Amino acid sequence: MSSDSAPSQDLPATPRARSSRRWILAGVVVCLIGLGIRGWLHQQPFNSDDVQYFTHAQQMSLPAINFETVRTESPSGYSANSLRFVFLSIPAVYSSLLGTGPEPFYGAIFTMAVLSFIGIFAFAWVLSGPRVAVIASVVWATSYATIAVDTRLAPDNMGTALALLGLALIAYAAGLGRANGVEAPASRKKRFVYPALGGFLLWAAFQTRASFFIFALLGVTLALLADRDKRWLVVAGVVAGGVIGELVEMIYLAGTVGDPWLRFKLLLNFGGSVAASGASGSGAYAGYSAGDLFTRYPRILWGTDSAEFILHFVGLAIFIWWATAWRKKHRLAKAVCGLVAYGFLAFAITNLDPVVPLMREKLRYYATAAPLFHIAVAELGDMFVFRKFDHRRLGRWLNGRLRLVAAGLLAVLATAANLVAAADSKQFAKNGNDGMLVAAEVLETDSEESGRPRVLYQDMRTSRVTNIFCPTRPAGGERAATRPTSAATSRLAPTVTFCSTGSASTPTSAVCFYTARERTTTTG
Amino acid sequence: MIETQPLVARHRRGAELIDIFFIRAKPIEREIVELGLPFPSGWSRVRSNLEQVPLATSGEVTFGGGGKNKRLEIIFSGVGAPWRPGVEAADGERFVQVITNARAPAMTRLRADLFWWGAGDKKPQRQYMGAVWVGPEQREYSLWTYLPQDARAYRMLLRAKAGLVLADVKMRALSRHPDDRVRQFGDAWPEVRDDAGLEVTAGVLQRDAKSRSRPKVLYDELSSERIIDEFPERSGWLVAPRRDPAGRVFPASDTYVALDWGQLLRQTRGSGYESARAHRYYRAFEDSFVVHRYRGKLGFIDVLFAPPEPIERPVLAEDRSFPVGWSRLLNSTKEDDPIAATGPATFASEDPNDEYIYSGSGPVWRAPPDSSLAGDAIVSVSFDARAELGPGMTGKTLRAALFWWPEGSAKAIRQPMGEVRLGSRARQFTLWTYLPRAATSHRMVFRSSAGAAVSSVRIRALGRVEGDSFAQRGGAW
Repeated sequence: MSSDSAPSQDLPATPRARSSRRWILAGVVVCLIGLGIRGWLHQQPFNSDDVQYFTHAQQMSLPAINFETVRTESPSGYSANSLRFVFLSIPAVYSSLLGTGPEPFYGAIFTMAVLSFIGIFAFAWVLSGPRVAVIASVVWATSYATIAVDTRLAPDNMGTALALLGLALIAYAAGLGRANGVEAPASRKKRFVYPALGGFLLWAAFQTRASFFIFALLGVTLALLADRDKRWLVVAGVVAGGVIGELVEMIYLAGTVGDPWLRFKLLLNFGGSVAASGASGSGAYAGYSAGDLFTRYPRILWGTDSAEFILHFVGLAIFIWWATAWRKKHRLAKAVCGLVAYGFLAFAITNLDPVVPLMREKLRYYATAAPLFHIAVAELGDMFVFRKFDHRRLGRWLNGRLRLVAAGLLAVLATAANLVAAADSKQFAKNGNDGMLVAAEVLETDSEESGRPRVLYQDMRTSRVTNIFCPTRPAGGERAATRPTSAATSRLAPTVTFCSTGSASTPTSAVCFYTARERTTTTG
Repeated sequence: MIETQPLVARHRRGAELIDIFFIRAKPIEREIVELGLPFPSGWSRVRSNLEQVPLATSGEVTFGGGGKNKRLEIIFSGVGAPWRPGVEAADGERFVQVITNARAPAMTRLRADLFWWGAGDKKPQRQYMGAVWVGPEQREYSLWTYLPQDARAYRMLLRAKAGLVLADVKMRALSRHPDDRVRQFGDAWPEVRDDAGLEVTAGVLQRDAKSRSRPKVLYDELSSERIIDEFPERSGWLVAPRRDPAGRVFPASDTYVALDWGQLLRQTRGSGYESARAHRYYRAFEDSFVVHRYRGKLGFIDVLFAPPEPIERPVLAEDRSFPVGWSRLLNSTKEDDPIAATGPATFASEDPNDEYIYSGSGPVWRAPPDSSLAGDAIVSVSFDARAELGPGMTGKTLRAALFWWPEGSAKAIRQPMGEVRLGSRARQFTLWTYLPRAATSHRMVFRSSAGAAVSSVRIRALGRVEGDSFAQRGGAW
């Protein structure tokens, strides 16, 4: 493998630094291209989860505005969003900077996309080398799955990014990047501080979504792979980072909710609910066999009609190859990360909605494993192009230009297949999923042209979405003002589900959603 | 909600619809026409591609009842294709609604589609109406869509999996209300647009701005964004805001104005503020340079340039003799009589292609010397008009044309001047065309149907000024 040969390993420091800068620059260029693709396709803040997170974040940063939040309560009676403040802080910061409207949403998702890039790039750099890091970035930039997730406000990609960055720091301190020319820090202090930072980031990932707890275990595993003399120092660093993070959370919870133990209570409740539903045979695992769970990712990816399905199986094969080469620590580390991320997160707890089976199949759940698959594919590509084959007869063919052409062709095909699938996918605003963006614009122009009052009828079920697109502004402001829900306006006609004329006594506009995907009764 | 509130827009993405309504304190009243026979008479079920079985004449209907396809079945209204539910209700420009009483043993999706045929169409257009989830409790569900102007016949299709029971289905046609805006996004219903016209207009703008060194700014009119989209490269083109910071509205200054009359009229259909918006533009040619007129299948697209200071176009001649010297011709009976000397001239024939009200008399009519219209001038006609509207009608179309004769020719050349949509309130309209140099005599002709009334007609000849181009495409003149 080329990364094993570490071409720059024996070079003096200065050229290596120069080389690193070149790779970083290449990565930044790829990142910008990836962001461009995400901006071109983008999704509107309309999906239920996205809206819920965003509304909660706005409530955090702009408490003076009543967003009429419909909170998702956990079984223990606490809002699960109270435990996601790392994740929610990004849209909250943007909301405090940009105010109301959809702009803070887009600011947050682009920041999370950048974090995704940083996570995959850093992890690949340490454990596979800079060249693989850049190739993996290209796969990230053009991947259907990551484009679909990066354009949403969901914890999946951000948690994975934080976890990968944390793991990269731990792997760096543990010396697992040595085979790729990434030497571990020499000082004992750094060998503690970097893992501590890594542990803190792993806690942050766990804080983003509880199922990322598995990455914390991976962090400890990677720390245990460190050189024998520094092993316990690195482990101590990881643990310290995690403990610091948890203490921070406890202080935050004590200050905001008044209960520092909320996290633990909630976790215990999760376990109880899952066990209860499993025992009764209805609920969490209803209708799902172990086989179904194990093939969940392939089934999701098959449904995307993209090259992601093939990349997934290529990645799985590489995981197995890494596992067979377990004596090399960097490969063992990657194999453990890949297989654990695939296996455990495929079975992880994702939802406690009693109506919907727990293991719903959503593409965004694949985001927790996708970067590892992309790194695996990138490493195969790197190996295919740069490795020298020693075979006497085959080497003449394989070391020639033929494989470069073949690799280029395959890369173009896979990239194009993913981009074409993304460019055609109906979930993106570019392809027609722009209903609320259009509605906001229509309300705006209609009010301007006709002089109709800038008042929007809202009921409990539409207010979360319409609040984002048509936020309340002072009278005469640029955006349509919204009328907050009141007892009078929330009385709905019995046959109307999403909107109603209610008992509006003054002229208003109303936005009605009719979806045939959910099992709800709609009328028009 | 469609029954009682005016529509603002509908957005469709696959099966999902987003509607925007304007809720008024006092509900609007629509003319509602019940269509077809009492359900299930006149409805059929599709058993296979070749087999269609009429439903029983009474009782409930269960999907998948006895067919080969037990999973999914279609039932549809009407007999034969295309099916005309009744002459009155078959015309487009209204909403079509289906109201069902339904139940299903398990939650089942019921989807409705409207198939419609334009005049002479053999293949119908398919238009999605929406879908509902039906549960065990019998309830009333309602879905609707807008039937475009071109529709002449239509049929309703309901689709569901086996087991869903329809206790009753009502089909209704709802008239369009003047406050409705029938904007759609995502193919909620077909939108007729003249892409060739937009492309030609974009080319004209590009060339004119270059050759005359005019600013590359297009006044924000109905089609401005779409026209700019047609530019191969948008180099330097801007869409000027409709309302500048000083609060002025049209005429804008130092900008191009592209008026897509076909599109504008489709949106005005008797609607209050949009009619007023169209009226702003009727006389725009008087103080702006005429750059181009495109005549397409939907009507004219005019390109004007509004200079910083309004131009003063010289009035070469004016004829206010109406109704003296005007006549009425009924094509079907060949009756040709002078119209009454007082009051408005009212159309009497139901057929809009049968009756003409026209100026002058004799086969080749020459205007009096003091009001002669020499060629190479703009001929405009201003008139007051209104229409008596029947129940459910939103307006009537009135067309104007200029017939002119070249020197020594006995055969007239017909030159359309455009069409307007008349409401029940009298409004003043102005239409114009360019009279070519070769014209020596002319005649003004109006065409409409019973109930339309025209009065205070004034014909004027306006001179060309430095800066006019009078270029055209599609036979505008």
